[in-house]
Amino acid sequence: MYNIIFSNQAKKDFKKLSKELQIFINEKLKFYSKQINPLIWSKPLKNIPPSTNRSRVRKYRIYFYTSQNTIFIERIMLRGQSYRV
Amino acid sequence: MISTIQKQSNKHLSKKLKFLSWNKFLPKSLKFSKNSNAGVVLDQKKIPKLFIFDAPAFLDILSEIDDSLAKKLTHKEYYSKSNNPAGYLIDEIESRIPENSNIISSLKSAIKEANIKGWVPFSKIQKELGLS
Repeated sequence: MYNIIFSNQAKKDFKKLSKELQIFINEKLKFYSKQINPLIWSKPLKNIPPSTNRSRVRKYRIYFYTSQNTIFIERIMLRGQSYRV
Repeated sequence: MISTIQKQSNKHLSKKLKFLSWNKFLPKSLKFSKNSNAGVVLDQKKIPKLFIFDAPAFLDILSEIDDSLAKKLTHKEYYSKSNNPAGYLIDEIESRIPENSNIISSLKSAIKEANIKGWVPFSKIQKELGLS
């Protein structure tokens, strides 16, 4: 079981979302917190210390890292903002 | 970009084929992002013969499928290759695309700020927003 904590920026990102998305992400985070290894539902990012992972949740990406049974949510961002193509 | 490709391609394509922007065929509810480009080649009978997507357009299409499946699948199914191949493809493609440099600095600054001012427990946010 993992604890989940948010950066202030991630909290702002989360609050800006529609209620429907907040409920959806809330369920996803509760699901991650119950996993033995929540990282298996995500992809690692390269060259970003600490080792940040990105998880796909509909059109949003949750950036987080884990340490000592805690999930640190760094940011929640729209898909298109996340990478350059 | 598509209009340039369209002009160039139409010169080289057989007179029987026509290259059109895919936007003409999209329903209004489905919007590509601004930097997305896609086209379709039609034959004389207006039958689509070839679809061309750049990476953002292809990701837009996959994302629409992924988004609609998200509402129907369980958590495990949503991340499963067999239940949600669109989501699986998105993850595979995105893992090969470099992160936007602004995002990297934004993540670093979010962590730095949280390490100084403190991280916010999710339970507190859930209470504030009436989520359980």
